[in-house]
Amino acid sequence: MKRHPLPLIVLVLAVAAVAVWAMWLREKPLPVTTTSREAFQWYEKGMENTDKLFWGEAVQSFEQAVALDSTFAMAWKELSTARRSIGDEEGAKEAIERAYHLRDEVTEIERLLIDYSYDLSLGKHEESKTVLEEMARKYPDDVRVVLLRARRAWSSGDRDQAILLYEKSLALDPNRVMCHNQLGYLYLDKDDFPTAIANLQRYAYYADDQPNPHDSLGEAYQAAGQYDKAIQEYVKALEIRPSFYQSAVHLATALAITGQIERARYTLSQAENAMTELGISTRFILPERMHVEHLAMQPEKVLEISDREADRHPSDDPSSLGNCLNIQVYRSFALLELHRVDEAAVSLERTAGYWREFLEKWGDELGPSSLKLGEIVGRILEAKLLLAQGLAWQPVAQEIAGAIDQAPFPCHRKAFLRYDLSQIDYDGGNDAAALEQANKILAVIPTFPYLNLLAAKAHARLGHDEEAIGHLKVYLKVMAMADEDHPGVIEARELLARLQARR
Amino acid sequence: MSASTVHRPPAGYLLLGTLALLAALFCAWDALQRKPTDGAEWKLGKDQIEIGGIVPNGPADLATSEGEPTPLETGDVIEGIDRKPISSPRQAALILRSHQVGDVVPYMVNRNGEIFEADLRLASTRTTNVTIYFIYCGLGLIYFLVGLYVFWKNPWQAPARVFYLLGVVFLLYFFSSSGRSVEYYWSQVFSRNMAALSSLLVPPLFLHFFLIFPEPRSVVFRHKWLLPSLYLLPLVYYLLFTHDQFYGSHPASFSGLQQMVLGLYFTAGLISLLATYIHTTDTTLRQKVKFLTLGTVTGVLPYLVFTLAFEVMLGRNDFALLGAVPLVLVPVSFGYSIARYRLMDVEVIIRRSLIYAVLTGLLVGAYVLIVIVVGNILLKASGQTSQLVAIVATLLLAAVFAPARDRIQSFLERSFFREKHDMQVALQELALAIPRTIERDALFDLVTSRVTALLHPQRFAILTCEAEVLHLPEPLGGGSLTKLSAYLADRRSALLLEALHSQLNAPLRPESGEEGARQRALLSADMGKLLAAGFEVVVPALAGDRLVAALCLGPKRSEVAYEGAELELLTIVAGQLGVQLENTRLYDEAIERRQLEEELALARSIQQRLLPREVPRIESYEIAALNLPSRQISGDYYDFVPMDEGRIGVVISDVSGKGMGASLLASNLQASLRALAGNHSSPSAILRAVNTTLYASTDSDRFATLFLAALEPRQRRLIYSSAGHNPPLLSRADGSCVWLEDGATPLGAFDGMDYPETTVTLEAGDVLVLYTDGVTEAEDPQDRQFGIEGLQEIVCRHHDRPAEELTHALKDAVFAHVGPNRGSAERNAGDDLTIVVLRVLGDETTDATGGRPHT
Repeated sequence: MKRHPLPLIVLVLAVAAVAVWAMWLREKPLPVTTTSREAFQWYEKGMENTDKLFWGEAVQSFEQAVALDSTFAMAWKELSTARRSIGDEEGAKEAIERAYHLRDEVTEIERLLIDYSYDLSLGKHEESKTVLEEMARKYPDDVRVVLLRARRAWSSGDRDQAILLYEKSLALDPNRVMCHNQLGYLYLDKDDFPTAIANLQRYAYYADDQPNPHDSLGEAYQAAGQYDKAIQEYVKALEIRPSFYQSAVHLATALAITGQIERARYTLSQAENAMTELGISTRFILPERMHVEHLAMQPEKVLEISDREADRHPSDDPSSLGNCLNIQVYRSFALLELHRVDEAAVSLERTAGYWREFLEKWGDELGPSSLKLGEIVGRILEAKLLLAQGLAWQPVAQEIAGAIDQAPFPCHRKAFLRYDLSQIDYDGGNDAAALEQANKILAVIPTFPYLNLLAAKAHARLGHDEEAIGHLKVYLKVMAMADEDHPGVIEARELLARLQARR
Repeated sequence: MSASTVHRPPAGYLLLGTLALLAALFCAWDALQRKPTDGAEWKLGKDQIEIGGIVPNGPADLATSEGEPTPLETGDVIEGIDRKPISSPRQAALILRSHQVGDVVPYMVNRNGEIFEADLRLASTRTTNVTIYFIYCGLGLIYFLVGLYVFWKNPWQAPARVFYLLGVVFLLYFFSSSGRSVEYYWSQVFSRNMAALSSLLVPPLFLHFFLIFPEPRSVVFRHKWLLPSLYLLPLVYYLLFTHDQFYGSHPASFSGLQQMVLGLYFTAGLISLLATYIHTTDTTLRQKVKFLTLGTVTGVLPYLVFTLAFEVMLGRNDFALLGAVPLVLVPVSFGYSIARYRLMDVEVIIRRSLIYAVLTGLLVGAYVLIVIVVGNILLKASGQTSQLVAIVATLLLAAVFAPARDRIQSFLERSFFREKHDMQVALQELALAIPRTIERDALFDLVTSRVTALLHPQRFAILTCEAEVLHLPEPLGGGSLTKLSAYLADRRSALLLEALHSQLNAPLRPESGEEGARQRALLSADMGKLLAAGFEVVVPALAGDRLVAALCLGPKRSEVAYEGAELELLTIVAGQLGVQLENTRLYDEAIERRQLEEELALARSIQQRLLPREVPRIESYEIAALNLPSRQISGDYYDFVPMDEGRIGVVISDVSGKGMGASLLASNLQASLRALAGNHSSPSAILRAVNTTLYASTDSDRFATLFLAALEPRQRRLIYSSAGHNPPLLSRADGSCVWLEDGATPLGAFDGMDYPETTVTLEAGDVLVLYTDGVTEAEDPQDRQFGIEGLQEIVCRHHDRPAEELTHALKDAVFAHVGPNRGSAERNAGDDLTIVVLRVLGDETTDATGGRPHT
C-alpha cells in the first residue's frame, strides 16, 4: 500500500525545527579565558569604558573582574592599560605583572597580547615589535592584533598603512567605533577634510553619549574652517560631560578665531572651574587663555596674563616646562606686536632657553613634527624681532617659508604659521610674498579668517580692490558672531567701506 | 472497490500545495505583525544597507518639518541605526525590534559620501487595512479549497491539475498581497517575492487552463511547445524583478508594459473560454460551462479594468479592491458548476442528507421568519392583540406562502440534486436521438458520448457481435485494452456473447473483495478477461431475446459506486441500443440486397444484348438457340457471325466469374470476335487473335471458353476450333455421335496460344448440339451431374425432331434432372443454361437466300 508522504514531511520539518532550536539555545563559549561568566561581564563593561575613554570607570570594571576571577589574565592586562591612563603607573605595573604570570594559563593569542603589553611596559620596543609580527602572522584577522598593528603603523608615521589597518579592523568588527576616531585624525593629517569629518561623524554617532567623539569632530570642522559646526560639536561635548576641559579649550579657541572673545573667555573660566572641581591643576589652562587673547589680537591682555606667571621658573614645577615655554612664546608675540622690542628680545631669549631645556628633557620623545613646529615658531619670532629692529628679516623669512613647506604636518596645522609669516611679509611691505603664503592656506581652508583679512589688506595695498573685497566678505561672514569691538572686524569693516567707496 | 483501483493524488502536487499553504499562512502572520519599521526598502545582495525605495508617507518619507528634505532618499546608505553600526538587514531588523512603534530612532545616513544623522519615528509593519487584507485572504482560501477539491477528486486529469495549481497560486497571491513594502525583515522579502511570483504565475496558468478546458484546443495539439512557452515570459519577468531587488536603481516592481502583457494572458484565456462556449455543438458541455463562462468573464473583466488598466494607465490603485473582489466569482462559478453539473468529473460528496438538511433548514427558517414578521406587521396594523387571531393569521399566511415555499424547494432540488433529473433528460434525449441514428458508428458515438457524459466511467466499450470486436472510443479505451481487444477478436466476440447470454439477464456488477473474486470465478474465462481488463459493469443489449451487444463500463472517475438509478439508466440505454442495432442490421441488409438486384439486372441486360435477336435462316439448315441466365449471371452467350465467302460463324462461350464482371467480359469478347472475324478467315486465326487481345486487356484470373465453327452451308462442311469449351455433340443421321473435342486452352488464360482447326463434313440429318456447362454440370438433389451421357441420350432420343423442339427437350431434361424447385426459369442458384442446335436438312428445304444467314 502506498504510504502518504505528508506525515513524513511534517516529521522531518519538526525534527529540523527542534535541532535549530537546540543549537540556538546552546551556550556560546566565552571569547577570553576565565572561569567566571560574571567576571567576563565586568570585563566586557571595562572594555566598553575603555572604548569611551572613561578610564576611571574602566579601572573599576576590570578590578571587579579580577576580584571575581583572580586568574583572569586578560582582565589584568586591560586593568594595567586603564591604570596607566589615569596616571597610576605602579598599579599598571602590578597588573601587567599579574597578567604576565598567568600567561601560561591562557590561549596563545591571549599570551601573545599579554607579552606585547608586558614588553611595552618595560620599554622593550624591539621585543614588542617581534611579538606583534608573530601575532600578525598567526592571527592576521584577529581585530585586537590588527588594531595594535594600526597603532604602531601610525606612530611610525605610516599613515596609509594605519588607515588600511583601521579600516580592516572595522570590517572585522564594526563595533570598534574608536577606529573611526583614529581614521578621522589620520585623514585630517592628510588634509582630507570630508573623509575625516565623515569618519568622525560616524564616531560621534556611534558614541553619542561620550564627549570625545564630538570634541574630535569639532576639531575636524575647525581644521576645515567650519567654525560654526566646530563650536556646536564642542558645546555638545561639554553638555555630555562639562568637566571635559579639552573641549572647553577647543571651544574657546574656535570662539576666539571667530571673534567671540567674551564667550571664549567665559568658556575658559568654566573649564577652569571644572578642572578645579576635578582636582586638576589649572595652570594648564593659562597658555590657553593667552592663546585666546593672542587670537583676539589683544597683546595687552596676553601680557597681563603672562605677567602673573612670568617670574615663575619651571623648576618650581618640572612638569610645567612645556607650559612655561608656551607662555613665553605668547608673551614674545605680544611684546613684538606692541613694538616693545627690547622686552621682546629678552622674552625671546627666555623662550629659546626654555626650548633648549625642553629639548633636553623631552626631545627623545618628541616626534619630528613637534620638533619642526618648535623650530619654525622660534624662527618666526626671530624674523619678527629682526623686522621690529629694522634689520634684514627677509632671508630668515625665506628660510621660514621653506621650512613650512617642508614641515611634515598637514596644511591646516600650518595655517597659523603661514599667517605669522605672511604678517611679517606684509609688515615688511612684501605684499606679494604675504599673498603667496596666504593663498597656500586659503586654497585649502578658504574660510580661515586671519589670512582672509591679511590677504584683503595686501590686495588693497596692491590696488586689487575686487580681490580685497572678496576676502573681506568671507572674513566678515566667518566673523558674523564676533564681538562688536573685535579689532579685526572693525578693521575689516573700515577697509571694506573704504574700498567700496573707492569703487 | 479494491485499494489498488483508488487513484491517490500525486504526492508532488500535494507537497507543493502544503508548502504553498504554509507560505501563505506565514505571509498572513507576517502581515499582521506590529514590527517597527522605518519605511525604507533596501536592496538585496549588498554588503551594506542601501535604500532601494521609500514607502510613501512612511517614516522615511516624512520630513521632520515643512520644507525640510525627507529623512531618507533612494540611494542612501544606512550606516547606523540607534547609534549602532549596521552592515546587514538582520542587524537592522534586530535593532528595530528592540524598539516600539512610535519610538524616535537616530539614523546614520551616507548620502553620496556625505554623512548625516536623521531622526525617524518608527511606524508599524502591520498591513494598513486589515479588513481588506482579510477579504483577500478569504478569496485566496476559496480558490485554494475549490482547486484542492477538484484535484483531489480527479488528480489525473490535466485540467484538474492546472486548476489546482491556479488555486495554489491564487492563494499565495492574495495572502502575500498585503500592500506592504519590503524592509529589513526577511519575512517581508519572502512575502514580497511570493507576491511577485504568484502574480506572474496567475496569468499563464489562467491561460493554460482555458486552453485545455473544457476541451483541449486544436492549437495545443498542433503546437506542443505552446503550453510550456506560456511560462517563459513570466519567468523572464521574475528574473528581471530579482535583478532589480539586488541591483536595480529603483524598487523592484513590474512595469506598465509588463502588466499589460500579463493582462493579455487573461484576455486570451477569456477569449479561449468564450470561443469554446460559443462554438461547441455539444449541448451538455455547453450547459456545463455556461455558468462558469459567465462567472469567469464577470470576475476577470473588473480585474483587468480596475486593477491592471487603472494601475498601468493612470498609476492609481484606489480601485484595486473593486478589481480583486469580483475574482471570487471564478471559483464560486466553478464550485457551482461542480456541484450542479459535476464539472471536470467531480462529484460533490456532500450529498442530499447534509445539503438538503442545511438548505431546507435555512429555507424553513426564512419561511417561518417571514410568516412571523408579516403576521406581526398585520396584527399591529389591525390593532388586534388576541393570541387566537395571531395564530389564525399565521396559519393563513403560511397557507398563502406554502406554494412559494414549494417552488423554492423544487428549485433547490433541481439545482443541487439533479442526477435523477439529468438522467431523465438524458433518456429523453437518447430516446429521440437513437431512432434517428441509422449509421452504426454514429450510434456508437452517440451512446458513448451520452453515457460517459452522465456517468464518467474511466473506461467504456461497446461489445457487439456485428463487428466481432470491441468498440473502444478514445480516450476511454484503447491503450491498455489493445490486448483485450485482440484477444476478443481472436475468440470472436459472438462466442463471447453467447457465453454472456447465459449469464446476463441484468447488469453484471461483481462486488469487490472476496465476494467479487468468487463471482468472477463463476464466470466464463472470456467474461473474466473482460472484468480483469478493468470493466466493472457489463450491461446486455438485447434485440428481442437475442443478445446483440453489451455496454462495458470501468469504475467511475469519481470512484463512487454505480447506483441503482444509474444501472437502470444503463439497462434502458442498452435496450434501446440493442433494438436500434438490430434495425441497423436489417436496414443494411435491405440496402445491400437492393444494390445486388440492381447490379444483376444491369448484368442481365448486358448479357441479353449480346444474344442475337433471332437465329439465322440458312437454306437446308435449321437452327435453334436458347439462353437461360441464372440469378447470378454467369456470362454465357452464343452468337452467329457472318464470315467471308458466305460462311457463318457459330459461337458459343462461357466466361469465368459471375455477375456484372462476367457480363462485361462477355461483351468485350463478343466485340473482339466480331471485329476480328472480318480480318481472318480461319477459326484458328480468329481465336489466336482474340486470345491475344483478351490476354492483354484482362487479369489472368479472367478467361473464357469458346467454341467457334465456320459453317460452309453449300459445301456442308464445318471448320471449327475450340478454346477449352465443352465439346459439342455431332449426332449423325446414322445414329452415331461425334464429340468435337479438338482445341486448346481457354481464351485470355495464356498468351500466344495456337488453336488447332478441325474440319468435319455434314450430311443431311446430322444434328450439332453446342452447349455450356450449365447443361452437363447441372446437379440433381443428390449432387449428381446431368453429364454428357444425359446430353447424348436426350439428343439421340430426339434426333429427328426439329431443332427448336430438340432444344426445349434438352432444357426440360436438365430441369427435370435438377428438380422442381431449382429448375424454374427464375433460378436462384446454379449456372446459365445455353444451348445451340443446328440440324442439316435435305436439299428440298434449302433456303432461297443461298445459305446467307439472316442477322
